[in-house]
Amino acid sequence: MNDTTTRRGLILPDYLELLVRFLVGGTFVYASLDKILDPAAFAQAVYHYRILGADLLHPMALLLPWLELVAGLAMIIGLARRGAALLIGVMVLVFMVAIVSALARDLDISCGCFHTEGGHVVGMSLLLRDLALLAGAVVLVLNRGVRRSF
Amino acid sequence: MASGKGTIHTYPPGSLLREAGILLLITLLLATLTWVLRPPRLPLRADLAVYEMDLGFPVMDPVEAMAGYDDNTLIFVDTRSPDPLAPRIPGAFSISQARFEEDLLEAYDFLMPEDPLLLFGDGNLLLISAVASRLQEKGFTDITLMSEGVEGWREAGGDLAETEEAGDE
Repeated sequence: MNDTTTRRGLILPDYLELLVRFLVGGTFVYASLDKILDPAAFAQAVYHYRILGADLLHPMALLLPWLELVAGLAMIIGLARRGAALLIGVMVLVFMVAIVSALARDLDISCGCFHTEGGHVVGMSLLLRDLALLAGAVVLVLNRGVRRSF
Repeated sequence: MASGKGTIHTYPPGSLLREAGILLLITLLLATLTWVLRPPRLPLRADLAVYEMDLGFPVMDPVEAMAGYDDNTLIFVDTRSPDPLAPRIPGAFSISQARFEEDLLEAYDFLMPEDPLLLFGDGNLLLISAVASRLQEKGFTDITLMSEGVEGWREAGGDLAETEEAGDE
């Protein structure tokens, strides 16, 4: 279809798209593993943000790690990659809101991002990292570039 | 929509949301299956009181504890004050705050510092954690607290002995 060139969107080279997919998708797959293995510890980490109530805390602790894994794998494999990028973008936005909220309240807590115990303390460096992930996800949603099909 | 090598991709309207929806459904399915098939199950409604208390020890609910009881992977320790008439979890050692030193002396020959101890009581985790702290000071390293107490254990379907005969080994 020749009219595609008139549509909005980025055109990312093959190798760059693959690199962004592996970086963003790989980050989310890695981040999910510890949480899937120990949802109770992850729930504890989420609780420390003091955002979710009793009804939402555990469902979130059970669902979010799987969403990270599914979206991350989909992005790496290349299946439903734009949908995966959209989900990852939304997740990163939620994480950023949680971090800003914790910073605004001077909460001295671990982020619970990759490991359920210990890990990075919530701070500006986390926001910058999430900003990079968000940029990657947005680029992948918008990308309509030349690439090999799967 | 073209998708071959060297083409520029277009996507039908709504494909982005459809893809995201399918991934969400897969996520929901996997999370539900894991929750159903892999005990211990995190209760769907959180007991925030457990999170509020910085007990310093992991907390386990009675359903989770029952799995450890059935597998013999946990050693149960009753932290309630001695009461011969109170229902007890069969096989549990009695180490209470009130008789801590005497109780520990009686149980000492049967317990190793690295044994996985599960402490329970009437459900007050602060009281249980006080005994847990003293056990930790004595060198015990693997201590978990059971939430909801003996009543929670009963409601979860756990065995209870009504007299002392099935108590300490």
